[in-house]
This record gives sequence, C-alpha cells and structure tokens, in this order.
Amino acid sequence: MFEFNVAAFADRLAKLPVRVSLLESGTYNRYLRENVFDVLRQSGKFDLRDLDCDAFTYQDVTPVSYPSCFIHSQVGWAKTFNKFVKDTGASSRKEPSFF
Amino acid sequence: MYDYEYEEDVLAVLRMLKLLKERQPERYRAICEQYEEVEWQFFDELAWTCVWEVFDETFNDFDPDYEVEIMVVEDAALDRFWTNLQKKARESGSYSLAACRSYIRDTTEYFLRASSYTVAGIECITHEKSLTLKLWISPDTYNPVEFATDIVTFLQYLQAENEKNTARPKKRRAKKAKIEEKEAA
Repeated sequence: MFEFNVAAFADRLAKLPVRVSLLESGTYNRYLRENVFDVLRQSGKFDLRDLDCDAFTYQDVTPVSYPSCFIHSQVGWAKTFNKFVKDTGASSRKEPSFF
Repeated sequence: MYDYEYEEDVLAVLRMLKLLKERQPERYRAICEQYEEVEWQFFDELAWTCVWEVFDETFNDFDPDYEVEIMVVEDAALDRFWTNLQKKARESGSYSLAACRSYIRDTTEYFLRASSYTVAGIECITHEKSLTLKLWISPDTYNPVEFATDIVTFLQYLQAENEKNTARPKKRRAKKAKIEEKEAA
C-alpha cells in the first residue's frame, strides 16, 4: 500500500507557485502621492503626458474597499445556491452527510 | 489613502490607463494627446472613453424595447478563454458546451457587476472560435468609474486564466518528452 511521505509532501508544497490574487486591497504609492494627487490638489488639473505607468502597480491603483464588493457578491451567490439545494435529499436527512 | 476628494475616480482612470498602455499602446497615446490636461471633473468622462478603447473591438447598439444602450465587445482574450473552455469540455467529456456558455456568463457577471450596477444585462454570443459579449448599459445606475475598475479586473482575470491554460500543455509536453527519453535510454 502507499504510505504518506511527509517530507515529499512538504517538498512539493514548498515548490507550489505563489498564488496571485486579483482582488487585493489598495496600497500606498509615493509616486502617485507626489506626482498625481499633490498636482491635482494644487492646480485641479493633471497632464496625462507626465504620467509614468511603470511607476505604480495595479495594486497601487486599487481602491481600498474594492475587494469587499466581491465578498458581498460571493455571500449573495452562496445564499442563492443554498436556497436551491435546501430541499435536496442530503439536507432533508437532518444529519451530517457527504454530498 | 491620499486624502483627495475624488480619489476613487483618479485611481480608476489610472488603473484603466495602465491596462490600456499594455493592451493598446497606440490608443493610449491618442487619449493622452486628446485629453492632455484633465481637470478633476472630467475623470469620469475619461474613464468612460478608456472603457470603449480597451477592448479590441467595441460597437454601439441600441435596445428599442427598453431604450437602453448596448455595448458589444469582441476581444482576443475572450476568444482564447472560450476556445480553452471548449477544449477542456471536449477533453474531459464531463460537461457540455451549454455549461461552458453559462460559465462565461457567470464569470462576466461576477466581475462586471461586483462594485456597480452599470451593466443591466449580459448576453454571450458564441461562435466556433470567437465570443461576442453584449452588455446592456443601465441609464439609471450607470457609473463609469466603478465600471472601469471592474473591467480592468475582468480583463486581468481572463489574461491570468489564458496564461495558466497555455502553461499546462507545455508542462504536459515536457513530462512526455522526459518519459520518452527515459524509455529510449
């Protein structure tokens, strides 16, 4: 029979690629503060030709509360899904079961 | 974060411009020349312009029944996503093309209706190797800034999924080659 090899498991786990989430909360960027927002605050205008898109990442230009919108969607979808499966066989048993 | 009243508008536009520069550099340059100096009150207008420029092809349509504007979108990333899904369905045999169509529709809805209700309706028209998205733009709850933010996330997701799907066959091919080498030795 096969035996669980902890060392091999840990080794494989360490080799897994880093998970990149698309829905990360915004981060502070000094370039944006000094070259975009301070300019807008002073003159009310911003020259697009001065913009350096390589000076900031997507995470820097993500609104802080943005990921929470998706949590609301996920919760809503899960609730609807639960409603559909409420009357299925497994849940009518009133006891824990696997599918 | 930056103590600016219209911070979210500015961030959405910058997010969109960054993506536009990566995907359509010529259109990005044209927009920079067209707008030059943008005043704070025009950031939402700029976001809307970028939304129409970021996809490969975008057409304007009209729904006379509800008097609503329809945005018709065609893009290479969407086509690749659709063909990869079809491939998966054929290989596994466990789900149908109708399920793939629902999957695309749900994905679009998840990303494009997350933070705003700008999109009132979605229709996915599938062809053999391409996909057309029809988005009903709600005149009552239209918010170009939030819509632009959602579009960037949606396109990033498609890009990431397409890259993942192209990386998998490469890995499989490398494994096969290794096995064949071993067998030959």
